[in-house]
Amino acid sequence: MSTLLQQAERIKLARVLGCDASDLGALAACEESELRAARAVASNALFGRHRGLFAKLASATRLLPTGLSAQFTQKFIGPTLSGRVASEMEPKQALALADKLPVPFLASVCLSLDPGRSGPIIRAMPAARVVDVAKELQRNGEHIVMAQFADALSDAVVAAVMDAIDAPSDLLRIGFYIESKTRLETIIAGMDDERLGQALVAAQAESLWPQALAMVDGTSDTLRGRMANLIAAQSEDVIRGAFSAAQQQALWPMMADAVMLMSPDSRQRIASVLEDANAEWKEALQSALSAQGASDELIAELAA
Amino acid sequence: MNETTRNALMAASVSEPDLDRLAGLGADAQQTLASLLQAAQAQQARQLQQAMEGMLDAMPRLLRGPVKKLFER
Repeated sequence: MSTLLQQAERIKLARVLGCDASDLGALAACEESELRAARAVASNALFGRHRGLFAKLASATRLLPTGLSAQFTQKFIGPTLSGRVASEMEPKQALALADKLPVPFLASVCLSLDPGRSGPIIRAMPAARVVDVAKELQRNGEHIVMAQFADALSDAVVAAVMDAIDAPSDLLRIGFYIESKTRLETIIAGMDDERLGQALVAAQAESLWPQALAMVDGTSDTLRGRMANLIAAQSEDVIRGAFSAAQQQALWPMMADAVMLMSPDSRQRIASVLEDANAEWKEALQSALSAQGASDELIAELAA
Repeated sequence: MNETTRNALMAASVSEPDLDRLAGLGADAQQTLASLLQAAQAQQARQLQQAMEGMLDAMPRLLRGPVKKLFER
């Protein structure tokens, strides 16, 4: 997991610095938290140095009729600078301009827009427009950017975006990168069991078990318990897939956590799948349960 | 943080409090960040210059004066 999150931080830092992640040199080996600090520092420096000019460009676009301003924004300012100039705009001006800009351009602007600096604009954006941009970002595989915006948008708009995402695997890819567990909790709470179940099937089909399990790591017992019971409710193939991924990618601590939070019925189901499964899985799970302080009774349930 | 890297980061507009946030990074990583940040600042300055010149050139004549004044202020 930390490798995936590290890679996400490398991509975010490279975006801010206007380079490719492969150009990060010695920075590439940094821990996730160090990369996040480097990104915040780089963003402050790049914004701080030219803040006056961003404000001038924002003022210049205000002097023009909105249609012409939209044309100039696309032709001369471009998506990267637009993301920074937007931080110096009043929400009203930014919304009027965004209304005249094509969705693919807005999606490109999102790659350099700092959700922290442009929060008022992002929150003021009409839900339908956000959904259109989100779909474009989804088509472009920009799950990391989508996750960054989840923190800045209102619950209602995030729900509208999640409803519009048709691929369950993308829900996992986005959810995995959402930094605020509180936000993630709200988002998942708004999804029904059928949708979450589809996401677990997608985890199996597209080798996304690390993302599925890590996504809920650090959330409440209630949410983790719900996900755990949903895993147990899947077909034998899907459950075996989860075990296989746990074995290959050292995910046993998270599987053990899930088993500990499961209902007795769900645990029984897991025990029955384990009965015919690889003996190594049973041993690894029992050992992870023991390491997490599970009762002997619970461990024995799986040995039966 | 060594003096050369510190100066390079400050030249790239990194503030004093932000320098402290980079203390956990290794010397190589700090140096790399300084050079990538300097390149990014230079690129951003070029893009801004081009954007302002392009806008002025393409602007309706009536608006060109006030916008030029705005950019020069």
